[in-house]
Amino acid sequence: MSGRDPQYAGTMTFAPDGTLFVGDNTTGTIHAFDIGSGEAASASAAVEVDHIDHRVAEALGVAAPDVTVNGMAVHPVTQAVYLSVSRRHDLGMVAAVVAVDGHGALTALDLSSIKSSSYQIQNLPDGQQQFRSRAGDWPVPAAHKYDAKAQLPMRALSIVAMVFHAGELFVSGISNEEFSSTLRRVAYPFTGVESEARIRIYHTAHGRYETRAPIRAMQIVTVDEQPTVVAAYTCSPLVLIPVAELRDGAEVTGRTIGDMGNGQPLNMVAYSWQGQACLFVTNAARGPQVIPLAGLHGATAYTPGNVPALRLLDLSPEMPLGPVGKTVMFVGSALYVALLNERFFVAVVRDARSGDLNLESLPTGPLPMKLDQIWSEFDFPDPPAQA
Amino acid sequence: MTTTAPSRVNVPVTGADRVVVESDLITPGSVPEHVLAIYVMHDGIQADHPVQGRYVLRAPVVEFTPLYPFGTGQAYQIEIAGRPRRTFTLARRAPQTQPRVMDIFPTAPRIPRNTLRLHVGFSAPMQRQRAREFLRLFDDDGRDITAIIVDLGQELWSPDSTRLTVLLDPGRAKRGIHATREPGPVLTEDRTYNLVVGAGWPAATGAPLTAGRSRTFEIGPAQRAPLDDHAWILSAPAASSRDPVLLDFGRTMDMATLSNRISVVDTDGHAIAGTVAICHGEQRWSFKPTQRWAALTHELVVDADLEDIAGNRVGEALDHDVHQRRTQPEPVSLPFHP
Repeated sequence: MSGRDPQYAGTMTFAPDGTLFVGDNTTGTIHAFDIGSGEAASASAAVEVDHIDHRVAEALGVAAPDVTVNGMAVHPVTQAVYLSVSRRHDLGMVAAVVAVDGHGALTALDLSSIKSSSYQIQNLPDGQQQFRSRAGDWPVPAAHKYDAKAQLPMRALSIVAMVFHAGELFVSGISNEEFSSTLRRVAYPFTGVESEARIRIYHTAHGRYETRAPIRAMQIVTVDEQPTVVAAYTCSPLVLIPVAELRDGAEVTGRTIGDMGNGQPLNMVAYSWQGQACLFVTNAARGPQVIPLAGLHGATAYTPGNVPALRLLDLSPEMPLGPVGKTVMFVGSALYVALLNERFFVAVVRDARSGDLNLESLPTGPLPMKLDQIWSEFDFPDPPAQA
Repeated sequence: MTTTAPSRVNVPVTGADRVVVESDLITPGSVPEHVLAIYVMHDGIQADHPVQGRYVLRAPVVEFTPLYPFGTGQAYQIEIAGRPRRTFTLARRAPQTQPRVMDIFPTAPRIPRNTLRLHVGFSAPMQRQRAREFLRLFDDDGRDITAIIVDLGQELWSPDSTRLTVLLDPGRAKRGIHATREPGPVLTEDRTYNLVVGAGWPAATGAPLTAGRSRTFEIGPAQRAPLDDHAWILSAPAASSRDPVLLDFGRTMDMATLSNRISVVDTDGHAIAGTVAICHGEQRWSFKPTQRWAALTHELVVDADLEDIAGNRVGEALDHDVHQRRTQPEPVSLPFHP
């Protein structure tokens, strides 16, 4: 439980006291860095840094192609944005964390000088287990890309999403079990106490119960008056799991209350807009989804007995299914998103037209959009009054 | 006070991890970041923001250690207050040794029609999952029959990624099994085939094979008989010599299993140290001891999973009747007395 520098800095989250948790999938280790509570940001301001990959690379002494951003978290007090990064060194990559303050100034953290502790999660997939190649399942891309995908060690999914809740770190991922989808609860400060529940879900679009693919994004919110994990899965069930059911060794069947309509969830953010509690879910290859929490209360759980005769794809009229809210307008592709403050999300966004990687702030409401790449009636002189 | 003493700039050139600057413009009150900054250069243009790291000021010297080591091949610019800028680039490491194809097995010129495995040995660890791009099998009409190489989705490599095993479709080599795919080419007796390892295959380090290599072999009759240890010929070495002990199989063996499935033990069952050589088209195994042979009884212990090139084992042909109960396989013990 001593602090060692991470070999890989991946998914991250903060505790309210300013402890930064960094997931290292290469070793199955969670590192906790005592960043401190810091000084509260004076205002709910936006932060914007164009070419964030270049800026991170410069600070770390290399060129932009030599860095990869792996994750993001926002300090709950200072509103500084923390990015986890892989930085090339010789033939390999080393882990780095870079903080971006409200003025857009970057500071590369000297991880070895920050008080830290670490925890090795249990029952990791061993380093040799790999996925199967899906070459031949789909006409594109070329088979060797699927073969390369299959070379990823399964361990890379040991720490997928992390949420800190009531003194515990909740970690979704997979274990070395055949029933591999796992939701771990790790006590913090790290005492060695960990509980592992295995999570089974009814996958609406696949028409079967699934026990292996892990939760991709999650939050813990109050649903039906109890703390509940809202879990988003690939292709793309939305599942409720009461925290009280997550006991060590338990095999829990989550309640699948809807399907967002394909896509792979990336991040889930809990926020409120005009007093309405919502979830904001980003997806690979889809616009983000806004899910009002009100719709989750008393929601029907889908099972083979009551699911509509779903066809797989989002072409089918039943998709999306259940109280999963709406896809909202967004410009570009959000790789990572977090709540910056009460007014803004902050996101690492791949710009749709230039391909630039930017750190952007986006309003939490009425829409998480920007107007600089959209041309409408309002761009002309003497615009009509905005509705 | 005016001074013209030049600043001394110690620039790392061989992977050193610090920049040390001495200048009479540096005083105990200097702000280190204001007197020294290092910037990444992009195609001759200086980055807007400096490389981050730790400064130590001991006027008139300031020392900068980057948080992460300077990258080789990356150009940097040093700005020192009141001095001309200068750039440095860390030398790249000595060029990677280019990988080579060491050998292609079997080396036997004529191999059975039901040959199961070929092996390609490299001088360095190679990138996996690249065989689809760089490995081809041609018949003597020049027709590409790479399709008869079994595609398991995952290539069969030695743990150190220096030897690739190429599996030929056992559904074609075995009788009574129909491969699920369309019937394709098969190895035909008395024809010749050419296995080609293409140039460009990258080593794990990225350095590509500069030269390809190929091996031509002729196809002979199928070998469907199990290995028979009674037919093997063991040639014992002379006592007090370091001559090799030889084991001749009378057929082409699988190089990979032959190289590590036979051990030499002394009277007490202790393993004897030495080196293994495989020759005569993988028909002969030889072992040369490190020490001279003692005039005592020794044993060759041959694991039950030793296979010939067609996958036949001792007492069990690859293509055996599945209803025939097989006795528990045991190692074969071959005593000899130098």
